[in-house]
Amino acid sequence: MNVDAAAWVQRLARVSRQRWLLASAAVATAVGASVVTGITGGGLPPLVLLIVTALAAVSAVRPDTHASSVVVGVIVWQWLVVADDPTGPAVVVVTLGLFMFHTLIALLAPAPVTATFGSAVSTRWLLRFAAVAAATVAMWMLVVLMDARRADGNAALTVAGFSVALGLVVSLVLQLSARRSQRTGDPADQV
Amino acid sequence: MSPGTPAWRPTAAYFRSSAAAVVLVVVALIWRRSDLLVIATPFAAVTAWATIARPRSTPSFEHALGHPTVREGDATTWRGTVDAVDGDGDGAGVVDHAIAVLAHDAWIETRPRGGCVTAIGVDGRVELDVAVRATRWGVREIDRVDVVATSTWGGFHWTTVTTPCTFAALPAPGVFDVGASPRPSDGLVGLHRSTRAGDGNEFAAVRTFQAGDRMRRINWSRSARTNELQVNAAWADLDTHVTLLIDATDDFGASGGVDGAASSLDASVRAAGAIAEHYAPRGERVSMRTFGARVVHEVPAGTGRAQLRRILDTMTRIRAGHDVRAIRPGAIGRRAGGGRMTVMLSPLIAPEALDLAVRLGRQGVGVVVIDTLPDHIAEHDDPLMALAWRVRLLERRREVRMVTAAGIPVVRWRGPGSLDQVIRDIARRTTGPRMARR
Repeated sequence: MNVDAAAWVQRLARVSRQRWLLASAAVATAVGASVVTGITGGGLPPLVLLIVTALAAVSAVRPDTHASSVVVGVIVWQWLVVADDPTGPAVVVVTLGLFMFHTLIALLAPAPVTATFGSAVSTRWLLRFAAVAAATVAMWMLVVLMDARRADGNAALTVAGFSVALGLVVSLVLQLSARRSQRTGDPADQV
Repeated sequence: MSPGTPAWRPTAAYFRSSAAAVVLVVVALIWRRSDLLVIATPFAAVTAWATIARPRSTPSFEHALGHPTVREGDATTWRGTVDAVDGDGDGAGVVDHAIAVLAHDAWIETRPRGGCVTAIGVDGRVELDVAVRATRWGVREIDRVDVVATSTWGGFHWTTVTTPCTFAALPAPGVFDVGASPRPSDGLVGLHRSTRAGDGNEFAAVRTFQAGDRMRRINWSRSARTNELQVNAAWADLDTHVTLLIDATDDFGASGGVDGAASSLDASVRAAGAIAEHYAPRGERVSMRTFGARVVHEVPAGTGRAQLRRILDTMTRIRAGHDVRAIRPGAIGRRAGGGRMTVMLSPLIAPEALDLAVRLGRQGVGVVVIDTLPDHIAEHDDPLMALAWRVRLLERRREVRMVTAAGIPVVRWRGPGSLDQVIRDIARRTTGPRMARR
């Protein structure tokens, strides 16, 4: 037991300061998104906050696992259940919080605990984040505009939306099948 | 990190973004929740971006060390290159960044600390540089380097593990100087004095021609006057042969590397390196041999900087390991007997080392023993160990006195001037009559 504890302490001591910062930021953004969601809905269940915090911490420690997917799922579910004003500014805050959480975990996932990212990597990821965040804000403004105009349902838009969703599903299935074939080592699939 | 994968693999981040995008868009469309479309937007954008910029060719990876040989304390660079340029030469955006992690080694320091470096991809190429500093002499090995390359948004990753690569860390250039010459002579020849007439450069006398004399030695004017062939005789050009005997029986004391305390083997190797570095480039013949370990390392006598390099390279392979069978005074004495000065570097803990020194002395070999036992050897956390060391050191003091009484000088290694007095003594002794057992 003492040996395990000592090994953990040694491992913690090797963690780079930047990783501590990024992991803390990831946990903070997930918890922040959950808190904003709770405030928007008029209440913040401690149990949900506890679950989100614990899962976010696990995600920060093991970013290469699917724990972070569960964090995103829990917060989205919380939003679906409690959000009173779906098109208010809070949705942008929650979305950007979730996106920041995803980005930080994706950045940390392949790196060992001792890694420190240089300014070039950080700048590149920040610029990309800013571009997608701008697209998200634009999307929100579009939704608000359509909501304000009380636009009727549009069959063409719905079909287009489903087409996009279908394309994403196909892409996901293809990726998963490719991953499985690589695990089984089927040479035919690798050609 | 997992062992190397042959191709790019989707990551958990890619799964997360694509799954979130799909589920959120479907739920938004079914439940007519436009806010979910907003939440899905960044995930859909990231998924699309990562898919479009998906790498299609397996990258190649090459790595090498900047210098195969360095001095201990000096650094070289490990450089790895991930090349993910497609067949059409377009690699823009394929590799976002790559990470390399060097395996930890007790005697290697890395910069960045921890041996982990990240670098950004430019046109499908990533160059990873890690400064590697050897903190102790020897053959240092970078056991493995784990390399991970990721694509845009961390959607796909590729890993590989390198094969071990080694480099030699030569002993630090020790400071050593000696003013005394082990070769007394009546005439001055090069750096040292010669005692015998022979084919040299220093004029000795004019004498009658003898069979075997070179034609260019004939003194024609003197021959014309005496009507007899006369030649200019010269003193032989003789150099010093220094034999370094390194005791590799054991390594006493904790080594702190080049920046810390020296163990007995550290001190022996560094002192031997300093002596070789003093004599070999000056044209002296220097040879080296280890004893006491299972593997005996030997460098035949030679001179010049190439010989110095041979000796230092061989020293990097010395490993301590007690084996009394490796101590054969007869064999060592025959090799050392051809030289004029044998320098034994030993902590003088193993009785075999002292015995060897005495036997070499009795064979007529000029032996100097350099005591390389560290001063901090008796400082031990365990009081019983400290007591045992004190007792052993008392015994050792008596043994050293006996060796000294037998005519073998034993000196502590103090750097420059350590050997001046004993070398003068040896030189004086070699000029007088002596009795030697062969």
